[in-house]
Amino acid sequence: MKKWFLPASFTLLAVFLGACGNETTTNEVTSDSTTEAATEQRIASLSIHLTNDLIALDIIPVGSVVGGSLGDFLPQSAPYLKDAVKYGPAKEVDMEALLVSKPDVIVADEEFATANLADYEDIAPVQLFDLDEGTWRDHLTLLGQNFNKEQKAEQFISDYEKKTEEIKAKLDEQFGENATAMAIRVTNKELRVFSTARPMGPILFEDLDLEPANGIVELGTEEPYQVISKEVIGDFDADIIFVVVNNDEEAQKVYDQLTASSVWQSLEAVQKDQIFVVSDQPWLDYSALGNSMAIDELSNQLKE
Amino acid sequence: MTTWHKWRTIILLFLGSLASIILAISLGAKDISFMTMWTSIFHFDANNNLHQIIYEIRLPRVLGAAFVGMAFAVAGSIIQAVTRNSLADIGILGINGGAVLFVTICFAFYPAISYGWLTFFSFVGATLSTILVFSIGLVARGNLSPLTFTIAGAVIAAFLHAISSGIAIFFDLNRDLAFWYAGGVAGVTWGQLPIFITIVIIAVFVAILLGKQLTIIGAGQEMASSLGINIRFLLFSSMGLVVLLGGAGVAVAGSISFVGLIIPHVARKFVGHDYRWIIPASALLGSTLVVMADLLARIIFAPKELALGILIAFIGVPFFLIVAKKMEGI
Repeated sequence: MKKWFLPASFTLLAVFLGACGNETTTNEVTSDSTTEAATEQRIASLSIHLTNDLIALDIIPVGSVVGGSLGDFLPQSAPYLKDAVKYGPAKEVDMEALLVSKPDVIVADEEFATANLADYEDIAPVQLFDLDEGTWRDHLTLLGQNFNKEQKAEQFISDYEKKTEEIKAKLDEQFGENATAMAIRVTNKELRVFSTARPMGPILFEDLDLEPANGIVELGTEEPYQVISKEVIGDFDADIIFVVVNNDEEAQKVYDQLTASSVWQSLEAVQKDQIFVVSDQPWLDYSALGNSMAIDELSNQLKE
Repeated sequence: MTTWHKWRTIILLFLGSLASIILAISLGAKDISFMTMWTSIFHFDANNNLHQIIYEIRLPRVLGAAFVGMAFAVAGSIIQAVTRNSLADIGILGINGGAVLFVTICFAFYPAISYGWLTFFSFVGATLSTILVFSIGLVARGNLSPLTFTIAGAVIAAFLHAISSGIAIFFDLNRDLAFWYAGGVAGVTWGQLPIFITIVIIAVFVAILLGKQLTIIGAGQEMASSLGINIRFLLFSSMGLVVLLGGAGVAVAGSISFVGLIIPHVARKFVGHDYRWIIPASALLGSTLVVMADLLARIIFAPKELALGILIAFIGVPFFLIVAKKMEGI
């Protein structure tokens, strides 16, 4: 036992330290490569949200990761990605598929890509994005700068602001200027209430300028949502409730169960019919394309 | 320990279980007074918002927790008796393995499947894998030894899990599966309860009737055979109960580990080694543990909720250690 223990632990230590050293150097390479601008590059996207930012800039990546639970491209981006290679989910990127698609550059979400950064670097230069930093506008602007689409990025953002202003005015008119809102999702086992963090927070409380309902700010910003006891749903006292319901039978059934309950029916927002049922996609896709489509969807609902 | 002592213990455990249920209905994220709770049960007013919260949300949840705890604890006791393995739990006989495999197959080939059908197929999977384990046990040289069972169960479980993992990786289903199996009683509805409670009560009652034979088989199969016990019949019927209890529990609350493992030991500390007493004691202790764990999950960081499994381990382990230490002399 003891004979091999010492050399083995030294070897382990050496490997560990070596790995640490490697990471620092690749990080430097990364920051260098972001400064290079290019036009018609073959781009591989390792984030479904960055993919949809690219699509908003009229850039179609040669390949992209897919939505984790969906196992496919998000429905809002699928029509653009007919010829794109699927790399699997962001947590377990299919290296072979990535290699075969011969990208000139890889864009990736720091959260998932850091672990395998060295491998990605071997395939193509990597541009890392911290999606928790800033809004999708910042990510879009940065992508625009990196791929010579600055004008398109500006145009997209100003179009978005314009249509958001219209919706905002409609919401004010219909529900008053200080209307409070919350967004929830119900599953078979729990009630989730969305916090002010992405994906639901920014669009509701910044873009649409709704007031967070009582207790929403207290949920913190570390998580997109918190699991909350159903019995306090009335205490949030929201004027408007957004209910995220997936596009499948099961989710619909769970939602029907919720609406049938008298606790739900006693909510003021329900009695005043101030409920917006929205689908998980595009609403939970925090990207330029996702938020823009969500606003369009809301606009249609307000017309009805 | 005299019979009177045992009766007294069971009555105390029953009162403890009842008290935990009343406490769990009284407390929660929403501040509701004890009187309001009382009137909501005995003089329900459909227009009173607080009454609706108690009736629609808390009552089914707490009752669900009580019977889920009962189901897993009794299933654990039965398995520990027939395998003569005090580390046995429903996972060990390949029961979970079969259920997981069937649910995985459903997700892979028919993702839009409804909750009800998933429950049904998970039952079918559990039953088939139990039959498989049995057949192996029967084929293996004559006698059905507990060891053969444990090994057959472990091997089949490993095999089924390997197939499920393969399918889950290929179809990228891990998240769906994790969600289906996540343990919790927050979603229990009145609709599920009548049938679930009936199954649990009948199964526990039958288990108590089998209690004497389970105790004897614990002393060895030769002894049991010589006392005229039909071992195959006993094994078949007790495994049937385990599938029923385990399957119904998973269907209502997902997979909740640890209750079935630890509660039979605590029960033995209270009532000795006779399964006629261990089974009712396990039922009451299991229900108290899950009700209290769910109560804590709801109120520690209210209105945020914690995962039930964490709380069960969190209060189950210290409780187990205290009981083990205190009763050492008995």
